[in-house]
Amino acid sequence: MTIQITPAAGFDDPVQQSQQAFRALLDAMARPGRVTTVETETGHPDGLAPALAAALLTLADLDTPVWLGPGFDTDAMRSWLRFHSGAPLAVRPDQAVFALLDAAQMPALETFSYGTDEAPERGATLLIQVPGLTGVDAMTWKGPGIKDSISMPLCGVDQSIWRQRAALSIEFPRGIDLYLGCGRDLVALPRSTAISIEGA
Amino acid sequence: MKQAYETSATLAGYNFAFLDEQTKRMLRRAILKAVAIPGYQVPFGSREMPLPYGWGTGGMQVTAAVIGAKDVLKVIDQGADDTTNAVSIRRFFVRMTNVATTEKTREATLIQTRHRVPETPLSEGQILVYQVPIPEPLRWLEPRETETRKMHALSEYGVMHVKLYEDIAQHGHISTAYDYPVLVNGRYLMRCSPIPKFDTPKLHMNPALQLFGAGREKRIYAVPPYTEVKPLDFEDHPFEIERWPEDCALCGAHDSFLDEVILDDKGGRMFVCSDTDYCGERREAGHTGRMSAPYKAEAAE
Amino acid sequence: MYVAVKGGETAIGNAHQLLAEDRRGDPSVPELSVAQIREQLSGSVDRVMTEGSVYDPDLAALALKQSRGDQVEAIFLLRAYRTTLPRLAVSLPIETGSMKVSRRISSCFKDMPGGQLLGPTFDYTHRLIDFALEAESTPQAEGKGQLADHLPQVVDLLNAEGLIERELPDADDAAVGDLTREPLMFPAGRDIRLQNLARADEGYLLALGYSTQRGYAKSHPFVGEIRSGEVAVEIDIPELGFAVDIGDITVTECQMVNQFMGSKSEPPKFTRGYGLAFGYAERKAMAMSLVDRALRAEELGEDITAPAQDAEFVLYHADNVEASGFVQHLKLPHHVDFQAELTLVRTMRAEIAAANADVELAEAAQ
Repeated sequence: MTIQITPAAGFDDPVQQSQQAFRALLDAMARPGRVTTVETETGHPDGLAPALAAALLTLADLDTPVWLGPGFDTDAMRSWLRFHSGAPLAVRPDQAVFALLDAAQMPALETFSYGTDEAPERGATLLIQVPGLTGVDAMTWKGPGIKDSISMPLCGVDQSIWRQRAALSIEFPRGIDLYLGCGRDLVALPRSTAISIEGA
Repeated sequence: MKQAYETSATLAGYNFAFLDEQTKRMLRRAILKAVAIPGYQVPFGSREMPLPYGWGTGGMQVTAAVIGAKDVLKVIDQGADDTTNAVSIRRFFVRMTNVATTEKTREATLIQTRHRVPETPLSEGQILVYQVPIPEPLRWLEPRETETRKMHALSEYGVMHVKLYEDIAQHGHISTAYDYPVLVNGRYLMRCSPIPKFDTPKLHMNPALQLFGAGREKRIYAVPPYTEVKPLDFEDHPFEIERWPEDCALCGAHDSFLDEVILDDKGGRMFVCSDTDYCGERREAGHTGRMSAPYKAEAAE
Repeated sequence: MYVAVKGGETAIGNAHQLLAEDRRGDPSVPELSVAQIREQLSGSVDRVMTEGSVYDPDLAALALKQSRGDQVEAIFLLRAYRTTLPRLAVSLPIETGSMKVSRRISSCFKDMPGGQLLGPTFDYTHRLIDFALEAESTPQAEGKGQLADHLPQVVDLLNAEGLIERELPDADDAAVGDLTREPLMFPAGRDIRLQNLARADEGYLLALGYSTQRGYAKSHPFVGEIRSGEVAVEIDIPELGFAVDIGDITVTECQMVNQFMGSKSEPPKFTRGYGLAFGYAERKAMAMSLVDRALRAEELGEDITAPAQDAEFVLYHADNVEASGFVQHLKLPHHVDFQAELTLVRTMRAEIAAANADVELAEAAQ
C-alpha cells in the first residue's frame, strides 16, 4: 500500500507574499536581536513555525540545497518543501545553503559550511525553531545593525551552541547566519554580530 | 514541482517589478548575505535589464528585489528627482509595480540614488539603494579581480594607504574628491559608489539600511544600520569634506552640497543645492538665497 | 532670478518621438517589413541572434527594425527580452556531425570525404559594387544548393591517427555553467569561456583573433573545418524516456587546428580552437576559435604573454551590451562628482598660489 501525502499549503500569492516575507527577513537581518513579525499568511506543515515556513518559501529553490535537521526530516516536511520550492534536500549538513533545525536538537555549528575567506557568502544560513524569543537576558549582542548593544535571552538554545557561535567571530568573514523563529516572529543573528554570554 | 505562479502582473506580460521570481530569490539571498557581511561584495547573477548597463541596472535589480506594493519610492540622480535618468527609472518602476512615488525624502520608504546621499537625515525603516558603476575600491590600483579578491580575503589594503600617502606627498592633499575609500565595520574596504566626499560621513552609523548594486560588475554589498564607516585618512591629514565660498543662491543653505551653475560666458555663476527636495523644503519654510524669488509651489511636471 | 531646468519627462517623451520619426525616415519611401529584414538582411539578423543569445530570426529582424539597423542596440533589445523568458527545458548538445551542410571547407586538405562545398559565400566574389542591385530586380535564383547529410568532420579524420587532441566531456560530468544565471568568476572553465565568446562582440573578437596571428600569442592556426547548415535541436523528455526533435537551427561551426609542441607527458599533436555562431556567421566563428585557442594557454602550459591569452582581460570586456552601456553612461550627468573635483582643484591651486606668493615676498624682502 502506498500512502499519498498531500503537501501542506504554501503562499496563495507567491509574488506579493514572498516580497512581504523577504522584507521581514531583511529587516531582521539588518537589525540583529530585534524581534520581527512576518505578517503575511502562509500555509506550513504541522510543527513548523509560520515565520520559518515563510523564510523557506521566500528563499529556497532549485539552486539551494536544504538540510532538514533532526525533528524536521519527515515525509510531510520533505514533500512540502519539494512541492513548493523544488529545493534539493542536502544529504549532509555541510552541503546546505539553508538548514532547518530545532533548538532542542542542534548539531554542532561546525557541521555547516562557513564559506571561505574569498567567498564568505557561501556560509550557511540556519533556520532554528525555538520555543520562545523572550526570557531572562543572558547574552549581550553587539555589531552592525545594533545601536550600542542589545541584551538577549538564550531562546531555548543550549548554552554550548551559543558558546560555539561566540567563538566563531574570530573566523569572520567566514561564518554562519542564523534566524531564530517562533510562531510568526523571528530574530536574526548575522555573523557580523559579536555575542558575549553572561557568566561564560 | 509547482512553478511559481506569477499572479501579480502590472504591465501586461511582465511580472511585478519586471524580474521573474527565481531571479528575485537569487537577488534576495545575495542581499541578505551582503547585510550579514557588511562591505563585502557578494557576486550575483546579474540580469540584462531593459536599461543599459552603467545606467543603474544594479540599483534597479536591488530595488526590484526589495520593492513591494506598499512602498513609497523616490529616485534621484545627482541629488535631483527631475534629472532625466531618475525620471526614466522612476517611470519604469511605476509601470512595473504601480507603487506610489514621492520627491520628499521623509516620505519615501525606498530611495534609489545615483551619486548622492540626500541631505535630509534618513530614519530607521528607510532603505537607500545606490547605483554602483565599479564596486571594487582597489580596481584602479589592481585591475585583476582574482587579485583584489585575495586582497579583500587577507585585508591587504596597504596599497590604498600608499596611494593616499603618495597623493599627500605629491599634492599636499589626498586627490580623491569622490568615491572616497572607506573601511566598513573595521574589516572591508568599500567603495561608496561615486558620491562626493561631502556625503561620505553620512554613511557612518546611519539609521537606514544602505544597499549597493552593481549590475554590469555583478556585485551587491551593504551597510546595515548603525554601522561604522570610516574614511581612510592619516593623523596629520584627517579626512575633510569640501566647502563652498557661497551659500545656496535659492535657499541660503550653507550645509548642503552645491552644484555650480554657469550663468554666462563672463565667469558669472551661482551655487544651488544639488538636493532639489532639500532646497524646496527650505524655501517652503521661508529660507531665501541671494537670487531667489519669493517661494511659490512649482507646477508639477 | 534663476529657474532650475524641469520637465525631464516631457523632454524624454519628445526625444522618443523624434527617434520614432527618424527611424521611419522619409514617409514617402515604403516602410520595411520584418519579413524583408529577415530575408534580405540575414547577415545582420544572424549577428543579432548570435550576440543576443536567442535563435529567433523574426524577433531579431524586429529588433533591427526598432533599432533602425543599429546592431548593438538590436542585440541589447533581444537580450533584455530574453531575460524575461521562462526556461522550459535544456536542450541536448547539438550534433554538428549530423548537420545538413550547405557549406563546408577545410584548408588542411586538398580534398576529403564529402568534398569541399563552397555554398553561399562572399569568398571569391570581387568586391565591386553591383549597380544592378539598385534596380530592385530579383536576381535569378538557381534554387537552393544541395544539402549534404552526415559529412564526416575533418578533425575526426585526424583523430584516427591520434594526431589531434580528443575533446571529451569532463570526467566529473559537472553541469555546464551558465553566464546568464551566474556571474563570471575565475578561473573560468572552457564551458564558461566559450559561452562568453559566443555572446561576445564580433568586432572585438575579430581584433583579438587577428592579434594572435601577428605574434601576440603563439598561434599557428589552420582551418580544420568550417561548416554551415542546419542541425536539429532535441530535448529530453523524462516522461517519454527519449529525446524529441523540436526544430532545426542554422549554425556555423569552426574547428581551428593549432600545432602544439607536446610536453613531457604528451607527444606532439594538434590542438583545437572552437567557434560556433547562429546563422551564417563565419567571421565570428573563426575569430572565436582563434581566441578560444589563445585562452587555452594556461591549460596547455604555454606562456601567457599576449592580451588574447589573458582570460580576465578578454572575458570581462567581450560583451557589447555591457561595454556599450558603460561607455555611454558617461553621457549621464556627472556634475556632482565634477563639482567635487572642481572644488578640490581650486583649493589645491589656491594653496600653491599662496605658497608661491610667500616665496616671492620672502625673496623681495632679502
